Amino acid sequence: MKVPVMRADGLCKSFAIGGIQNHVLDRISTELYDGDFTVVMGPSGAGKSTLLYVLSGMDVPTDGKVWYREREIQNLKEKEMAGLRAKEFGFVFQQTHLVSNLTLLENVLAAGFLEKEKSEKEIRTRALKLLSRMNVEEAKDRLPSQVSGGEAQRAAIARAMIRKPGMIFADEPTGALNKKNTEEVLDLLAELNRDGQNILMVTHDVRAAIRATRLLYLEDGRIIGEMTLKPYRKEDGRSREKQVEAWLSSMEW
Amino acid sequence: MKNLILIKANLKRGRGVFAGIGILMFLITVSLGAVLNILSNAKSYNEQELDRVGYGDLALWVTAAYDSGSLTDQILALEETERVETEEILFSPYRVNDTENGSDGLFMLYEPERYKVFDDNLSGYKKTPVVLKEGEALVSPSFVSLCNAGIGDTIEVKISGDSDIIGFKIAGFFEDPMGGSAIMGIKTILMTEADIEKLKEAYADAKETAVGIPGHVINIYCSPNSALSDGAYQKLLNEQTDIKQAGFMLYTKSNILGFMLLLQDIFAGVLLLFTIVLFVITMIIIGHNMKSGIEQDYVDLGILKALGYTKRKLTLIQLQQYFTVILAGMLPGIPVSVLAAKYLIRLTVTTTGMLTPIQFPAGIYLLVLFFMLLVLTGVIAAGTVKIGKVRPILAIRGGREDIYFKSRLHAPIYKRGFSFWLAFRQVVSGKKQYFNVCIAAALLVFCLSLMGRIDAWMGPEGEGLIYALDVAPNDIAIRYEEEIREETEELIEEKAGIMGQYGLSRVHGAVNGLDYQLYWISDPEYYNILDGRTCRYENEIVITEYVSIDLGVHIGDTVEVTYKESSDRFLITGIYQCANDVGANAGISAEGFWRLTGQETDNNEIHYLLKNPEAAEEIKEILSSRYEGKLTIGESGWSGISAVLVVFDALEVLMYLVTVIFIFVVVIMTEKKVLNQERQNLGIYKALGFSSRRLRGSFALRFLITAAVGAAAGILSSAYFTDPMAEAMLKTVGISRFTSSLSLIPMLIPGAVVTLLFFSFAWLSSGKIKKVAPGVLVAE
Repeated sequence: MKVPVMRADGLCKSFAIGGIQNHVLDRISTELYDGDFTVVMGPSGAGKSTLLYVLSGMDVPTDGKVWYREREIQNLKEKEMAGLRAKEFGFVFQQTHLVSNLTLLENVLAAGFLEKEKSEKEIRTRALKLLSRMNVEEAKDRLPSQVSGGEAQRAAIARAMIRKPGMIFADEPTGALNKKNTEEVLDLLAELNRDGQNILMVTHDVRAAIRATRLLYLEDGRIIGEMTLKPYRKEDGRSREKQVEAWLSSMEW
Repeated sequence: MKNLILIKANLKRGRGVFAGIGILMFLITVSLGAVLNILSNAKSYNEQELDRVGYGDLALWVTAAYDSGSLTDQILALEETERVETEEILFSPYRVNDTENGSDGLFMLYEPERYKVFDDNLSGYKKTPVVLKEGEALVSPSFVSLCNAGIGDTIEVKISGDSDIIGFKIAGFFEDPMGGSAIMGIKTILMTEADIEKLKEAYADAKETAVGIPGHVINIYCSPNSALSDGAYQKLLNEQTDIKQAGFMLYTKSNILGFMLLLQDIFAGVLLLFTIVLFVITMIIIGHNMKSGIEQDYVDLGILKALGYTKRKLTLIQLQQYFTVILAGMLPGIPVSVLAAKYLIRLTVTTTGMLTPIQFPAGIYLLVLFFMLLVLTGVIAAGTVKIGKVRPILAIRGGREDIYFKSRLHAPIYKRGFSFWLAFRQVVSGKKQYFNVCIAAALLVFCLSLMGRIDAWMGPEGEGLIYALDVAPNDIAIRYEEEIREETEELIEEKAGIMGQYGLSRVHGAVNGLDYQLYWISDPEYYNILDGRTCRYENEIVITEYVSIDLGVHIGDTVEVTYKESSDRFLITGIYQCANDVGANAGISAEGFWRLTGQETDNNEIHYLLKNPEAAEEIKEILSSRYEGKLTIGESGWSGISAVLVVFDALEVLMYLVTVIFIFVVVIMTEKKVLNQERQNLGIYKALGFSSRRLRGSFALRFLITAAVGAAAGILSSAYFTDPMAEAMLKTVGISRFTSSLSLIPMLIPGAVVTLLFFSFAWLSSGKIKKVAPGVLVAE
């Protein structure tokens, strides 16, 4: 029996554009489970990223509720929400979004330093370990503008991991990367998931989706399909790709 | 039209920054206009009032004992004299609200059509001539600042001793163009003819013991055809008439104007200096804003270039948009400056004594504004050079990164004090953005420190200034009858211990034909010598720097000293410090005075330096009550000191007020740019779990760090440059040597105030960080 980490109930998100209401999320109710690598797929404009940001508390739903480990998050005060993000959530964005004037190591440290309980030495050691694991140790003292997109994204994953978060939210993390870097980053995410890290990722890339243990298909603001997969193994890549493609075809992808 | 659309769009987008520039230019225009209005009107109005009231080119005060008739005949006999007018006057000591003026009052007849009487709130004049009743008097509004006098208070005129007095009620305040300024000791008091007679009778009855004396003021008018200057005419009168023997006080119109305008000049001078500093800061801000604006608009400029806009066109647009806001600040500042000048004049009427009307000095004002615009044009044009470096293809392909964060300086970050280290890192890596904060803090702290150092030099009660005014240091000065001297000195010795003493006298003399106060001292070693040495021998003299410049003489030169009918040559051995009569004085030894006059005359005033100076006040009280009528205790210092302190306090308040506004504007301008540029970084920090409070704190700390660096530079430069600058300013008041020192805390106060203001305003203005949601990172 899987334990839910996050729960959404009746999530709605609308924007008024030129006086016309645009419903991006339409009464979504779902759960995210411990140990899952959940991937949200769907056509452009389906509301994938909006769902990710509403679930992570980065955006506020027009209606509905979100719980993280039984804690309702949309009513949290700004400081409480900041605390929750610092302790429990990690983010990986499409554009990496590293702080432009901090080095890769400092970007990771900046997130780590928010942890009061650990000493600076412990945080530095962990940051270096993570950067080493992400294979960007050599570039640790460079600014984001001085490294490749793949290196920056791997550093962003290290930053997301520094506090051992309860959930990593990844929004098209390979959207701006070349093929080689994409594979490296996706393998890293899959590896983290194997180690028990919960991940929610939005993507429209089948090669990314095959790393998932659970797939959600979103269209017009609603979840219209769901599929579960076994934990990812590299050697199963090709067969999983076919499996996912078939499922997507059934969703009229 | 195309340009207009772009200019409007740019102004709208950068409205915070442009509004800031507009406000700064408004402040500068108002401040400059107020200074120019005061400077250009005060002198002409004072001069005009001196003429209207009837003061001559020279005013000579003589006692009734001297035959003023024969003197006026001598003066009129000179070709250079146009006419002479004599007016009856009474000289007498007086006190108001227990405050005794150091100099005698000049009691004169009130003529309703001649004098302007202020209305009760000192903001204008009474419409109809005031009728003065017996027992009433009119005084200058400077009595308010000097002795806290108000209508209904009593002026106690001394007749023969401390208890023999006649009281007059202050019925109002009149504008006195001759001695109305609080800086001048001589004060005119107007009263009815009957009261003048009453005083004369009282003096006559008191006979030998009368402290007041009747006399005349002789107003001498130089012929309009005469080519002689005031000084040369004065010299001629000294040589060819008996005025040296007759008069005990002589002032030229320029002397009077110099004294009367001294406070306004100091006030306006410091304000002008401050305005120049503000203008420099504004120039730096505009220049910096130009550069960073071009960096921020790099992509837009690249697109415009791709659309066919040339560098010239884009430069023109920049010039137009900056001039729009500069003129939008300047134009309303022009009429407001008139109001500000009027307000300042009204505010200072109790120290200056004059309610100068404002006639807008359009010529000089517009000329200065035009010059400022020319300088700003240069600054803006220099700032647009970067436009030429914008390459469309690079801009469109995201070359913006190449011009941002050029500084790759890495300052470390640590967990302990993380907000501070993060702020420090931001400042170091983006220091260009905080350059204007640093410069503004440095210059503002410099100005405030300069004022602080002058304040400290003056002392809380003006004792430093009194020291500069004194011919020699002293704690108590006593004029007494010889028979009580011994027991008096025993008492002083017992109460405080006498460390040193000397006799000092002051007479009205002339050096090389020009009138100066002449001091003679029993022990010349007490003169405050600045250069050379004191006058040790009977044929030697020391002069002030003012006299040295006035006469064009130096150490080693010989000068002719005249006192009444005696005259002799003296060798200048030193320059000494004494700002009395703005430095128009010279000093010789007692032997020198005996050589000059051929008489062995004792000094009539003994000055004591005490081992315990704090006991001086107690000693003065005991002596006054025990030996009433047998001695006079010299008023240490100078009645105008309170006025100077009031003016400096007002200036300091004004400077701090403008500083607050200035810092607010600088912070708003910088904050808008920085937050716009860092919006995404702020979103990232929020996504990482940074609270708005932490980010605001770190943001405000950047301003604190930068301002603290600037403040340190300001404090250091004030330590190096205050003394020469203050010396240059104070030379006009006869103080040629200025040495400031500050203890640590007062030295740090301006820096701390400026730094904290930057921090507080940055914290307040960073409230919008709360509105930056991590959602800015969403890119669906």
